[in-house]
Amino acid sequence: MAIRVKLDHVLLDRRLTLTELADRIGITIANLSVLKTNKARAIRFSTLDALCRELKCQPSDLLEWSPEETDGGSSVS
Amino acid sequence: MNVTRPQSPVSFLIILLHVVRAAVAIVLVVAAAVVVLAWFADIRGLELTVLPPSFGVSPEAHNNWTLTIPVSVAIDEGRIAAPSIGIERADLHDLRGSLRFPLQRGRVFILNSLVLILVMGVGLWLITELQRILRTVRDGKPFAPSNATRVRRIAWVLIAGEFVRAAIVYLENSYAASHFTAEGFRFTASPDLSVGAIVEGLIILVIAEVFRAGTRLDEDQSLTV
Repeated sequence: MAIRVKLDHVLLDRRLTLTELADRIGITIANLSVLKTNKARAIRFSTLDALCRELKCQPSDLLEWSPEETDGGSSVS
Repeated sequence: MNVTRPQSPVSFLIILLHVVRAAVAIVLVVAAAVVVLAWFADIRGLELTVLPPSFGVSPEAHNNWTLTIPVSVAIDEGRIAAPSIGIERADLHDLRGSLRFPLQRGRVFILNSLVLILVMGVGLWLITELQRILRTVRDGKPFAPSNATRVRRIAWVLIAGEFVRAAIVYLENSYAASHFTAEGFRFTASPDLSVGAIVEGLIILVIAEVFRAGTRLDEDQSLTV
């Protein structure tokens, strides 16, 4: 996946743990962990909204596109 | 996500299949044991039926072994008519039945025993696969990737099984036609391929593809945060 989630960087900047963030936005640690480890296939706008609100950041602070990681096999349908 | 309650029909079906599977497994083991034993020991009154598969031992009823095979019959003599509705001649077609006859140890006995055990084995495998699918439904994971493969495998086995069944019926018909004579009718050989069974297999193949698509959707869903 060419989209990388930079949640770990933002959490480090804010000195927050994944558990604290999970408590604040009401998402399970397991789901946040999927997001943090870049295993997520999609992210809901509601999740992104909650993350940006609690972390006081923009979506661009959480997501990054890196061309070298493009696998070429995925498509949007 | 748990989609079934403890008392749901799925749990009932799992228990039912468990009982059926145990029964088929016992019959299969006993059938195999009797067939092997019959070769060495003097078992009287062994009765084998090829299709649908069954076997029994009745020492008092028969001294000999008996084999029941599917046969196809054509009637040469006799006249069928319905004068009241103006039909002077009608024909009887596709006369099928079962022929039971005494049998000695030999190639025919071995081949038919193997067919019997093979059919029971396939039945046991089918029940086991259905049980595994139902367990995933009970556990709330009906779209596990293995289920699509299982459903597809069942479909192919049903389709191939129908061709094998038709071939067995044809061979048994041919055996009767070449060895048995009768008065007023004769034994014929025809494959008796059931188009309905093949269509059922094809429908299950389509369902397998739907399952595969469902598996992808389920994976997407579970990886959406």
